[in-house]
Amino acid sequence: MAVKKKRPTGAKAKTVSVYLDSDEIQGRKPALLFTAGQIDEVLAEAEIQELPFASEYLLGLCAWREQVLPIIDLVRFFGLGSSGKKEEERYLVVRTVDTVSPENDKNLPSEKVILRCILKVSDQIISGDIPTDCEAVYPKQVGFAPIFVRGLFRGEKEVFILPDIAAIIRSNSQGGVE
Amino acid sequence: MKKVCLVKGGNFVLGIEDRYIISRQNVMLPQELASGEREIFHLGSLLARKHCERPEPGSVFLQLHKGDNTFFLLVDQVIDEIELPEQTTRLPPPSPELAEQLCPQVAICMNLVVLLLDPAQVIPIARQLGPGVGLFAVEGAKNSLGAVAEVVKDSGPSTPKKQIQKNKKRPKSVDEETFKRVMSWTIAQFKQGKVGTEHLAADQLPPGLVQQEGVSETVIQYLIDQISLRCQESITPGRPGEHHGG
Repeated sequence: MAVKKKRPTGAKAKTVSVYLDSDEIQGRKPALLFTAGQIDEVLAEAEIQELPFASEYLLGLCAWREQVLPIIDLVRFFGLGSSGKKEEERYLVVRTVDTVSPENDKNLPSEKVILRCILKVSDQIISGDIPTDCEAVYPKQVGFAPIFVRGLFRGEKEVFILPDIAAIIRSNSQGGVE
Repeated sequence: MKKVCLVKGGNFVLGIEDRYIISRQNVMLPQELASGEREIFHLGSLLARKHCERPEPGSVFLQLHKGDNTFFLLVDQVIDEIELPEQTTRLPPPSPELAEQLCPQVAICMNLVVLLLDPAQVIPIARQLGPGVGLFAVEGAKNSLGAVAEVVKDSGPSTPKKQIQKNKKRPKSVDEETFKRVMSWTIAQFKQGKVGTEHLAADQLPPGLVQQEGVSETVIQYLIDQISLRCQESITPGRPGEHHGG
């Protein structure tokens, strides 16, 4: 899996842009934005075990390094339409840190846990630096529920989505605004 | 290690621990249906939240028991029997609540995820999903089960009755066409999981031949050899002929 390098001028932080195989948002191509450290692995294929009673966006479960991880399609989760183009698929193992409060004893301090999931994405994965010439967009403007997005930025050709992976994993509802 | 039976219901593959399976059969006898108020659940329909219209050809009845519950579960196919490590984990979020109830535990075997069905949850979840959902109505079952039996029969070669009777008397030879029909039927039976331990004991197979996914070519070749041997036996004078139907 080749990861292209891109270094636009005026750049600051190291990021990985992962393009979604979906309709455009405000005439721009939607791309997920991660820090390099959030991505554990890019898989060319995944053995998906379908899960009964699951929402459409939850494609199933997959074994990864002796762990059972959910496979999520964010295009469906955010209620975006598929582009219809036959693009190659990739499966991105991403992780995030979540804070959990002990259920039984509220006096105990909350602890941090690592949550992982696998995202079904296109094969357009670009490692580079975050462009500085982006403008912040309010999630509801593009039909996203704010709780599932840590940030949304409109660039010249792309709309960058910073998904809140912990909120998505913990959620039982979809991420589009009703 | 725990022994687990892998079954297919609709689009889903689940594991059921062997210790919960009382019996496994392709057809149910009318007296079994009439014997009590046992309910028959259809796994594929339950998982798809719908009523069972017609079972898949080659469906298998599993009699399951856990706690106070004893019931029949009709599955589309018994895929394999595997051994799983004792250590299991809970379904990860954002798994749906119903899935967590029905399959609270999950294990990894040969890098594949196996959802373990909790038989005690089948009846409560079917009730929760609504009247008749996932249920294979006993009243209509006799007819439908007749249909199952028909389908099972249909999956075999359409050997004319007369020919079978003739074979039963004393076949003088097995022609190539009949042999191929028997062979393809037997392989189909095995692939569909109908040839269980009650028909062909695991120790009759050479060790290590049953693979995780499906049946290896070696096992199929072994079956072909067995059929060949049995066909040869059936034409030996003085021995009762074996019929080749389903």
